[in-house]
Amino acid sequence: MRPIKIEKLTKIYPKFFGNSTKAIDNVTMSVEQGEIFGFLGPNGAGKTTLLKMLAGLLYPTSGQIWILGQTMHSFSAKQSMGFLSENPSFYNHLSGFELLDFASALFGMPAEKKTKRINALLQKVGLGESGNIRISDYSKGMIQRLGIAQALVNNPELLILDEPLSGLDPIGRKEFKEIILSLKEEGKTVFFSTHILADVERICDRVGILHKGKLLRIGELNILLSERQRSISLSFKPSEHRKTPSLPDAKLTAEGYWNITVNGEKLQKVVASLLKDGAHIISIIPETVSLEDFFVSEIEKNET
Amino acid sequence: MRKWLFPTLIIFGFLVIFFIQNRIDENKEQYSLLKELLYFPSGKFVEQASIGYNELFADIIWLRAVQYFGEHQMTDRKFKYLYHILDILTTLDKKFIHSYTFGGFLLESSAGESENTDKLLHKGEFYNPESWEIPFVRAFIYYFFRNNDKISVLFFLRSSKKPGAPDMSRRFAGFTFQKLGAKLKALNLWKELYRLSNNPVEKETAFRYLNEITMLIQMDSLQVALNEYMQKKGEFPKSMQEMINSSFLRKKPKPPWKDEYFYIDTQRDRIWCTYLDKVQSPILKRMMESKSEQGTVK
Amino acid sequence: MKLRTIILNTFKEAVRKKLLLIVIGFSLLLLAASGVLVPLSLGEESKIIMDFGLGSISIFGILLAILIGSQSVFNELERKTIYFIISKPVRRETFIIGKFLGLLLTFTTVIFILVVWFYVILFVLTGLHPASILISVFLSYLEIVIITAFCIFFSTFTSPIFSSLFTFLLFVVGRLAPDIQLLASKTANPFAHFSLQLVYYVIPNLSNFNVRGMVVHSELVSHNHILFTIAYAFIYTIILLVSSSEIFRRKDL
Repeated sequence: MRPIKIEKLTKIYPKFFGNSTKAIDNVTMSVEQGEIFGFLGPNGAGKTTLLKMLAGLLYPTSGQIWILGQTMHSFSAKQSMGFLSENPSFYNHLSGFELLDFASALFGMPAEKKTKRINALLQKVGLGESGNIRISDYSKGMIQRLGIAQALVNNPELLILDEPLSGLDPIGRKEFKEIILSLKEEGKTVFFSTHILADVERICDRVGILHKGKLLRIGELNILLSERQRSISLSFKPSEHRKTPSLPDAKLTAEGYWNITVNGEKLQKVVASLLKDGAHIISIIPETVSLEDFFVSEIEKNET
Repeated sequence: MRKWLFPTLIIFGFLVIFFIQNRIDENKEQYSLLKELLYFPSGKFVEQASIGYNELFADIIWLRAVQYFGEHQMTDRKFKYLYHILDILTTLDKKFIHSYTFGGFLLESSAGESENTDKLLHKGEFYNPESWEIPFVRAFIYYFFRNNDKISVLFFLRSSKKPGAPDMSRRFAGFTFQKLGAKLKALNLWKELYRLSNNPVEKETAFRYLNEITMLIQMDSLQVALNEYMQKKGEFPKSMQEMINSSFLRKKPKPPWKDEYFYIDTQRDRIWCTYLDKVQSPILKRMMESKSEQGTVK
Repeated sequence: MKLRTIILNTFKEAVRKKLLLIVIGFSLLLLAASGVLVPLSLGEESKIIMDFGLGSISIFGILLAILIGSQSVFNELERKTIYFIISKPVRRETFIIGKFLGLLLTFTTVIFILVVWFYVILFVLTGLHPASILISVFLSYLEIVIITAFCIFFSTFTSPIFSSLFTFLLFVVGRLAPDIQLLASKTANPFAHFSLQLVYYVIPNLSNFNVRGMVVHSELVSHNHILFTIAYAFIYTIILLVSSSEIFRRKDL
């Protein structure tokens, strides 16, 4: 049973005047058990809309959603699920501990050992000292941590997190990534969205790209990135008696040596040609396609 | 199927509400509407509570006051709370002249609460120093209901001095000075009031009094003829026709109402009218009493 | 139980609001101020104090209900605190009813404090402690219940400003219900007559809950009236809560 299965999901916001907006356009995908899935997209792509539909906060216009084998909105699905909204806000009049207590009650969890459980959870997210402080006095980072905590109260199998790393400083981001990895080690599935590409590197098993409500790409990160033909950057100095190299695309760099970018196939020819001319080859470096480039190119493709 | 559950529930709910409300209404006392007003300790409180919408509230209360008066007029003729209502009304909207004049009029004539009438009208003069209507009504009340010429003259004069006062005020001041019989004065007053009033209740009242006084005046002249007959013939005539035959009367007089007529009350040797046999009116009674004091019309 | 949790949370939230304390403080002051009027009342102390007391309790109760009630649901939506609850296994109806009962709990506590204070003042100043006052306060309380239900209803779909505005308008119209019925009975045009009658029955007839005048003049309130009025308040509130739940259930959050 897949934790998340989405079929032909569409969400249209109707408007009285003008055109209605299609927030989610015919998305079909699924998330596998035990994986960490990163959902990428620029701002306004529809990520939050999709996640809210998964959490049972919005109603789809058409299409189907299954969470842990159950249809959407079913109680048993929500029982084993944890959700964190983007830029969350919690009842300011409560303390961190009281909020988690409230959450436990909403899950119908037993009262025994409650205090111990909640304190352990606060410890886990780094709020061990701040349990009794009123939420109105929490910093952004603390709220974010509390957010993860309330999503973990019921020890869920599936976590759905909307921009979980937003507003965190670099140390916070690192800690959060570590928490997410540890969740995977516990056998949980994590599905999170972000518009910051760096967030998905290192921790995601698979990613998906959403733009204008459409799912553009989905798959394992390194496989996606390897699609692009690898370019190779070659630096050299031409031989003494040839001030300028015979290669037309070569460029002179500020440091005084020449540089040319070739794709993998032409590499052999260029190297041979340079050596023949007596050029001194300084370095041969394959360019890795950055996620950013990949991302931007996919978006641009969809724009046209 | 599920789609219809919700609207059905709502409609059913309102049907139940309909039934419950009906039972509540049946159960409620008749004038509970106005009993609400009793909750307010005074007009002042209501004024504060109206937060600036005085005139609007005054209108609402005016409607209720009229309703109250109407209902009681038809039934028990008891106006226990009339003054209270008028007090609130005139506090909420101090310039609502009609509530002073009409209210005062009703208070004196139908409820008979002279003290409260004075309080109300005094308040009216205080807040509306330029009004000629209020002193006029005061004069009228002293003149007609309280038979106090001296004070009524003062008020007629006061009214006539206000800006925009009609000739009527001065005329009546004049009338009161003249040594005319009480009835003629009254007749003219009622004629004027009937002519000038826009209020249907006022007009109706004026018309009724107009007729009654006319009847009394007619009766007076008939009585004079009767007395002359007595003097000349030594005995009272048996019928009107006799008086006409012996030229003490030119023609048979007709009272202002279609079905009524004058006749000689042989037991008491006086002229009488069938109207008086049918109607009880405190005003008439007073007029009759003053008649016996002042004698007949001169 | 989950309902209880939401009720208690709403209560805690309302109680920690400064607005509540201000209103309570103000009304306690006002009730005490009626004592100042004693020397002016020329022997009518008891009537004046009772007038003031019952009136103040009613007005402040309604004010409280409108101000705090109209914020409640909408603020949750606005500040996204609602996601915290609805993403968990909680029915949407439970949320609405929980919020309503939580507010009611708050208002009940406030009214209770005011009534006790009022009784004390009345007793100290006049030596009276009539039980009929409780009847009047109880019916005022039922009025507050309906007003609260209206606040919840409106705040499921409009902002606090409109929500309090509409609730206030309904309050005024509801108090004038008997006049509407009067108007209806005097209209000749059958269509107008029917429409006005319809309006009369649909709007909440708040004059049912006003027995202050009778109590102040020591007239008895009939048992029938009380029972039917309780039934009225109950059914009307249910209608409002069911409607609110339904609207909320279909809402995209």
